[in-house]
Amino acid sequence: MLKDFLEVIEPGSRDEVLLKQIDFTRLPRHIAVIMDGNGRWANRRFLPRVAGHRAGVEAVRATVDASARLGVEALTLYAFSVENWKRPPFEIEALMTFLKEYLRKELENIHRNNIRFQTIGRTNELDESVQFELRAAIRKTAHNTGMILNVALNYSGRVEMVDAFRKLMEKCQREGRSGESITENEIARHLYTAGLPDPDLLIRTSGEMRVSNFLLWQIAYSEIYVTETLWPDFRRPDLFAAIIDYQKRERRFGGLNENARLAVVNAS
Amino acid sequence: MARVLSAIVFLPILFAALWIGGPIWFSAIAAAGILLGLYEYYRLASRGGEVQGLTAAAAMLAAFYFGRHELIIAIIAALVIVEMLAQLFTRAKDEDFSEMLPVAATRVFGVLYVAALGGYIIAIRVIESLDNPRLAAKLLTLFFIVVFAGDTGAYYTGRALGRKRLAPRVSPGKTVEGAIGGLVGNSAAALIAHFTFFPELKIVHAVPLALVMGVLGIAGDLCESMLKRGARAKDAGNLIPGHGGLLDRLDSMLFNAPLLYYFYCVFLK
Repeated sequence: MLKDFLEVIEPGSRDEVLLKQIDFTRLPRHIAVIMDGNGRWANRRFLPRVAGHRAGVEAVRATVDASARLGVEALTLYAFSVENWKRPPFEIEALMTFLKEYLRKELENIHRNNIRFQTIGRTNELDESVQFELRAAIRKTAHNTGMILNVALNYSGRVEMVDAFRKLMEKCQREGRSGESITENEIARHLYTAGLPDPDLLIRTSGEMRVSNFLLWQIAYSEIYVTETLWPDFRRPDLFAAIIDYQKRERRFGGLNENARLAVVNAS
Repeated sequence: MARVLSAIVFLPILFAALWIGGPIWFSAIAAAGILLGLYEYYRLASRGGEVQGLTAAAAMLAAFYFGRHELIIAIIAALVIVEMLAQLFTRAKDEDFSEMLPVAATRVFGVLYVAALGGYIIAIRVIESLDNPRLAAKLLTLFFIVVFAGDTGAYYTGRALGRKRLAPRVSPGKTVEGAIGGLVGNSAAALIAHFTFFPELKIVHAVPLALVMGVLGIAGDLCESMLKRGARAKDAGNLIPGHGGLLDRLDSMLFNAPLLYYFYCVFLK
């Protein structure tokens, strides 16, 4: 909501100019972000990659805060992919430490802002100490009714589908059903994101034009916004700019006009 | 007097590099010190190998800086192979090969002793913490004041009260009284750190840490003295006026840098 920004935005600032251009009746319900560029940010400053990840946490804070104030229903952040295990062990350890520190430090804040914390991905393969913090955050915020902060950890879009199909097949066998009876909706309900609307807006920082195995099923009709800004530099105005760009686009969902859009929205 | 003057010039630079700007400044100074210390080691050892050794050491320090710890083992492997091959190619026509192992081993050991241990100082500088953005600078400030207070405490207590020699053959100037004075200095510095800039370091951690650092520092100092005497030199070099060689300054830090790094991993992470 606009009023939620009154205390944090300076009159006459770039934030304010951008904020005024946002149509609050047509906000994306769900924003997904591929947080790319921490390493490049660090390289440009001749800093260790870990310093880039630390700086990236500031961008997470800013994005979570601004999204919640806007009134976005869900924000999904791609924090750690299945492929990221290929990174140097020291870097992985630092990332996990930052995640734990972030949760410990921000949990009160998240809770106070009525944000519900969730994860997607095979989190059971993460270190027990990380899982402990994740469970604590999920449990504490389980009954919050505000924005859903969904963090993708040890996530892969293909693995998500594998997991969904396995569960679905087991269910079909148990119920003695044939494959014919499986519907799109039923598949969606077995994905990690069950219950969440599909992302309307997918933001990728650092200029790369790739989806990188992120929410493959769910982004079927998402508007993709790519910015050259590196993730550690991403702040409120960058988020506003993405939303303004999104709102300028005509979303057709494969149809021709607004009626087609409504048809799809009603169907899902 | 030269000793005090050196400190007055050098300490402000050291602490300024530590607290102002990113980790690169301090790391560059530390790397320069470590590489010069290693160069002194090679001169003391007088068995050659400076070029490969300093190259491997520089690569190792870069790996510490960029958090690519997994590359350090690869650098060691490469250095071992290079030094062994160097022996093979230069000695094949010698009458006797008895110097092969001492030379190859001495050259590799310098990198391990000075750069692998000293590199931990850089590893500490690049520690990142969300809760405590100054943690790395605080840890290293603690590190230096504990080491310097120990050295100073030992020096003056030893001069005033020193009777019983600690290790007469290794380092005739060191006394038991001086060592105790050093430990008092170490602990006092850790307490000062706790009460001034480093309150998150608990006293129950700070004092034992300082005492272990003190003991390891003395041990490191004695080891380096023995190494030097083995090489028939009193000071490892004469870079810092009044302080002997750079290696003499580094010796008590080399054993303590890994200690402090793992102390952080266990107690402050």
